[in-house]
Order: sequence, then structure tokens, then C-alpha cells
Amino acid sequence: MEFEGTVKELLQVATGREDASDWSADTELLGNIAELDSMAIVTFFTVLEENYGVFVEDDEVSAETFESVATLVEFVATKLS
Amino acid sequence: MPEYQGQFIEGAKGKLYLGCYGCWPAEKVIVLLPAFGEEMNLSRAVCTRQAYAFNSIGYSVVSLDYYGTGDSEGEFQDANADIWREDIRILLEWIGSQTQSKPILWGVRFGALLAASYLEQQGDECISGLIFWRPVLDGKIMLNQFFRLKKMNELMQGGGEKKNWFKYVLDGGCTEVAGYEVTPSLVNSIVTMQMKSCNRTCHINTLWMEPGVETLTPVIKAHTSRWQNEKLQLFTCTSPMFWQSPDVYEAPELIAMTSEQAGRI
Repeated sequence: MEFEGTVKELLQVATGREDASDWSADTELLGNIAELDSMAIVTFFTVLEENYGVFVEDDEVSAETFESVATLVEFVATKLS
Repeated sequence: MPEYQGQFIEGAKGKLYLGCYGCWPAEKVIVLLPAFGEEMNLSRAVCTRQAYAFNSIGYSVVSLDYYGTGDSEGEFQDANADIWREDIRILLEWIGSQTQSKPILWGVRFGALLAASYLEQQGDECISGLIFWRPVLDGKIMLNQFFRLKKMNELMQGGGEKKNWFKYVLDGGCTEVAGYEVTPSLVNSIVTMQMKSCNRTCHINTLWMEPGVETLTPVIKAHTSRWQNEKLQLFTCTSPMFWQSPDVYEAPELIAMTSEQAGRI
């Protein structure tokens, strides 16, 4: 999946989990990765916005966005494509 | 052991806490303007390391706790960027009364944007150069990120109100975000701040560090293209994003590169 690498890099920065690069598209995130708290989600978007020059409106985001690596890749793809 | 001494001076609205690293009074001074909100706390350890690194190459460093933050007087809810700029003016005046040489302003994240907006308003006569660490370029984007903390907290707790808190405060309401009481006065003073509107900075010797990225983003290239070539040193460097990440206390490449380049400002 295009952008999967980008998403995993951002997740690694946001959660501090060194093993984020080993996660698969099916890896469940919210409720499964303890480090993925509200602060980590904010970090994810901050770095996405600043490194890629995009702007994310909060109403574009829901809990479903962070369901799995795949759902997050889908979201990031719409922002970066 | 490196020297460190805390000290208070009278600011615009109350006493300001200054952290003085190195001998004082000093001949070569760098003034640290820290980041905003949580980023200020998260970046403190790396900034301290950089301050000591500056000491080892002959600079003394004075860090400012903005009014209503850290150990300075006042409450966050009574603070705004206008007060902070006035405090910078008072601090620079105080430094001017202690030493002959003009200091360098070192702005970390929001501190860089605040420095640029200060210089735009007050002129650059009191300083000799700038060091920027990953500057915030747009106050509105920074605030949106800040308010997102509250939004994501609600989301994690299962829904919450579908309220646009940023707009709510812009329209005159007050709310609490991650332990900070946020007021219309604060938000309105920051929302219009933009690096691209600060033209005076482009004529000042500037060391601009972009840690945490491998190559310059188009956004940074566009912003820095306004500087005259000989006035700007612009570097990326591999470094953890310590201002975003808890438990990151070191950024050796950034500190080494900043220290090496600072002498050329």
C-alpha cells in the first residue's frame, strides 16, 4: 500500500514504539496499542501537517480513522495524493 | 559543574523567571525563547543540554519563562502574546544594562515565531542574530494543533461534543485544554501571527535548524527563500522530534550542529 511506510514512520514518532515498522495493514491501533493516546494522535497529525504541508480539519477525523494501520493509510492517502 | 542561576526581573505584568546558564554578566549572550504549551515542557531537557553546550563555546544563555508559565508570575489565563513580546523587550533592555554586546535570540518552535513577530514590531537594534529550531510558521495552525488535544481527548472517551473549540474561544468563550485555561485574549493574539509576514527577520543573520526531517519541505523552502543568501544558514538534521515526544531527552546531532554553526552568526 502506498503511504504505509509514511504512516508507520509517523506512528513510530507519535507512539515511540520502535516496532511500528513491523506492523501490518491489519494491525489494530485504537484500543490495542497502549501508547496511542490522545497526545500521540495529536503528534501524528502535527508531524503530518508540518512535514507534508497539509492541513487536517478535526471533523475529518473520527475514531474509525485510527482503527487499524489500513484505515489510517487510507486517510493519509487522501491527504497526500 | 556548569553554572546555573535562577533570577527574577520585573516584567510587564509580573516578575519573570530567568534561567541563567554560564557566567554572568557575560560578553556573549544567547536568549532562549521557549516553545508553547506541552512543547515547552517536552523540549526543556534538550534545550538545557544546548544551553550548556553554548556555555562550553563561550556563550552565556538566559532562558525566559513567559508570563503565566513556568516559574514566572501570573496565570496562563491572564497571558497573551502581546504581554510576552513586551516582556522580551524588557528582558533585552535588562541584558543591555548588564553587558555591552547584543544578544542572539534563540527561538524554539513558537519561540521562533514570537521572536520574529517581536522584531517586526520593535526592530532589530537590540540583537545580533537569530537561531531558530523548527519554527512554528503559522499561529493559526499551531493553535489548531493545540485545540486538537481537547478534541482527541473527547474522541478517545467515546465521542464527546461535536464542538469546534478553537472557534468557540475565538468567538469569546473560555475553555481548558490539557490543563491550560485558554482565553480569547491569548488565542486572538496568536492566531494572526505568521512567519511570512515578518519581513525584518530576513535581514538578520539567522541559523535556521530543521531537526527531524531529512530534506527541506517545500513549505520551508518557500519561507526561507526571502532571506538574502549570506544572511541565512539553513540545515536539516537527523534528530528525534523531542518537542513532540515524551521521554526523549537528547538530540546530539542537533546540538553539535547548532553549536558548530552558532559561531558563524
